[in-house]
Amino acid sequence: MSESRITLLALSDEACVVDKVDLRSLMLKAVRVEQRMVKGVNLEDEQRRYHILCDRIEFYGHRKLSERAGNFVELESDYLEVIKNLSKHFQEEVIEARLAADFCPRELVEQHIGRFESLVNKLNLSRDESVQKKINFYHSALKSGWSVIELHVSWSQSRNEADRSVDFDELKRSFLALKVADEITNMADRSPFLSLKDQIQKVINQDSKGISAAVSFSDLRHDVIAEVLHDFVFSSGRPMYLPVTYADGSKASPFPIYCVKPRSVEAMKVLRTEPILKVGQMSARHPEMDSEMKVYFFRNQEISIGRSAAEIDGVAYEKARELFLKMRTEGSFRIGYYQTGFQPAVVGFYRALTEELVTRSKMLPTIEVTPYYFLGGSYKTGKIWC
Amino acid sequence: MITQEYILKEIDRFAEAVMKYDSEYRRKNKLPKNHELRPYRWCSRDIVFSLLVVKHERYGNYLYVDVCLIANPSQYYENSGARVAMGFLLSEAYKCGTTMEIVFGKNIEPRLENGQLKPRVPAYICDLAIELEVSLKHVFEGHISPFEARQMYMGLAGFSKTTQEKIMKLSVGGKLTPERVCFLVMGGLWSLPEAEALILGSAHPEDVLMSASDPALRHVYLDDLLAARGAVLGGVLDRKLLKKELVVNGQIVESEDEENEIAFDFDEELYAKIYKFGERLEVPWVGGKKVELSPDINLAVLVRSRTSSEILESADSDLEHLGMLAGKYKGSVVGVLYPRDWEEIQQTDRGLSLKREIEAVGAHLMMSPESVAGLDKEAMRRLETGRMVRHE
Repeated sequence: MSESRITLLALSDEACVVDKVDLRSLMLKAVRVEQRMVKGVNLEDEQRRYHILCDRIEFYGHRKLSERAGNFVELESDYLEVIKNLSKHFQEEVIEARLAADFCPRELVEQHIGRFESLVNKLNLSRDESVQKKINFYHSALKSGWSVIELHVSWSQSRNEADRSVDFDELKRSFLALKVADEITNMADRSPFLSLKDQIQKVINQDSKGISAAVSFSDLRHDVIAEVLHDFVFSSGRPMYLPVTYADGSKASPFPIYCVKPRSVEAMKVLRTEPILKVGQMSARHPEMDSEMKVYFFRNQEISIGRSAAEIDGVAYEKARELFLKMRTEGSFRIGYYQTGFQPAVVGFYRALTEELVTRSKMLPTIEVTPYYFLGGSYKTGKIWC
Repeated sequence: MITQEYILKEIDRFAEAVMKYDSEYRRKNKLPKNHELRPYRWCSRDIVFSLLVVKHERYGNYLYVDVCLIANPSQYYENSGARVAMGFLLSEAYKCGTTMEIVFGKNIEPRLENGQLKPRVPAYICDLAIELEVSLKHVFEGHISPFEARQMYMGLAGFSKTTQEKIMKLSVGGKLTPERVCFLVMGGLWSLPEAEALILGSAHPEDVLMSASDPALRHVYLDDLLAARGAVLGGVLDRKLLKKELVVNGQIVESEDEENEIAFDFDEELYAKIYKFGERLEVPWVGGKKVELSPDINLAVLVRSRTSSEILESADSDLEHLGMLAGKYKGSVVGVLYPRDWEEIQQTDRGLSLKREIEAVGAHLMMSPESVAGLDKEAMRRLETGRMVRHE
């Protein structure tokens, strides 16, 4: 097996000029792109620009290395593991301090190595040979006022060859013992409501046995989703999170179930004296609803930005959570929620609502959501969430 | 027992599904949703392998097969129709986000039981399961369970034993699911030899296959990109060698089924591709030289998708590996494959001396028409596409 090794190359400002190209200027441009990437605007374009700039920096860096210009040191092959570890444990800090970038203009060397030292200390990696080499190399570059490029030298032969003495039959046994569902579905003809309930129950059973499973909400009727989720949220049972997936394969945050106690009619008495606010689920989906609604809960433009269904679910959840938080300070609300469809947004909304109801469960009731579904030419009332 | 009457009836049902599809979707220029019945006809030229009508049963989250007719044409290898059908059914089940359970509808090879018609898993698929050493437990209920589907998918993808071993290790370690690897290959994102090069030749194949790295984390992303770039360059050579050009009336024509007979192997230690040929061929991209290959002569190629500056920097290491490759595969034609970026240095002193050193080892310098920029573009496309594919 081959692997990439990392070689650190430090270059003075003069050495950074190759064929009329100033490497430092490329580095500073790339740093600006990094700052823009964090904002997430036109991300794909920014990523493309970043790749082009990094590609040029790496190309000229390799040329300088082949000419043995500047100072260089080869790190051990585990250096990439250190970076992956840091990214896993301190994602935000790593991005902010640019620790996974493969170049460092001289202006940023001091900050870079300072943050690197502090994070590797937190993970007790400071004695690692590569870490030591990098720290010493960066300190020396800092002293000289040089910029650093971290170059991948690919197709180096692995020094840590994996143990090949694997018993294939033993491995196959472990593989076949992996927990995966071996049951088949009961084929009785059932309503969509019962079928989805069955599917959820099956996932709960498999999850309790440690088998990886998730409920797929794609292409399901949105009224079925809301009604069945209501049953699972308000039933008694051991509170748990239901794994959620979509047909595009994306995995959303799990959905809390068995976690809200239904309020008594008595407890809801005061709140129910208030008028119902007609709220459409999402703008620009059914313009004929516009005149009927007081307001829309989601702006279509804000929700339809995710690329995968799970991302859309996540955006809808965050937006709804934000709005519920704001509503806490604005008094009590009786919402008539007119659903317009779009499954990930429906699931995201009810996830946020369920969490909100859990949070408010010890307070007097201040929120009630009644879903309305457009079925057979008129609106039908769903089960009340409060 | 499949009767002529059954086959004709199922062909009629398939034709009905096609007509419905035409009127509801094709003529309206609409695409059906996963949960709507869709007909598929799997053919090569005028030979039909399988007729299928499927849908994602959304409330039960399994793949429902309404029509399943399979042929086993004698001109092709055993169980070819069932291979085509199952390859598609499993990939479709994965794509639709199902649990991977496949359910055959009530009209499929039905039998009378207690006065009721009951379906079964088609006999050809059972034959295929026997060939793949997978035991199907629910044949007469017409179901293939997720556990059985996993084993059949692994068998159908056709990985070498070493690659299967690595996939199993990664699965046992919880790093990726075998279904995803199989889908990436059977869905055409990576060819089988490319996937094997990735799995055996890179330090973290799971990161590449899961498209796990964020392009903003350059070190991590570049590591995956380099692995993907190498596999793509190897794939370019695979396709060049496989491509058969038939001369008809003095003109070169290509045919979808006609490929050169080649067996692929991969040397994971040196990251080299080993080709064994069933016919006489010439080594491509050796600068106009005529280097012949035959069933007695293998081709061993060190694949190095480097930029010109990387070639210069890693020349010593590549020469060392080339020497090792020549020693390991004595009697084979040995080469090192670089991208077109080689052109940038071929006339320099170091370029000329490097070429002499390569020849001194008894190897050939092969220059692909693809440049690193083109390879990177393709590798990035594949990583990006993989990001949108189901992850479990």
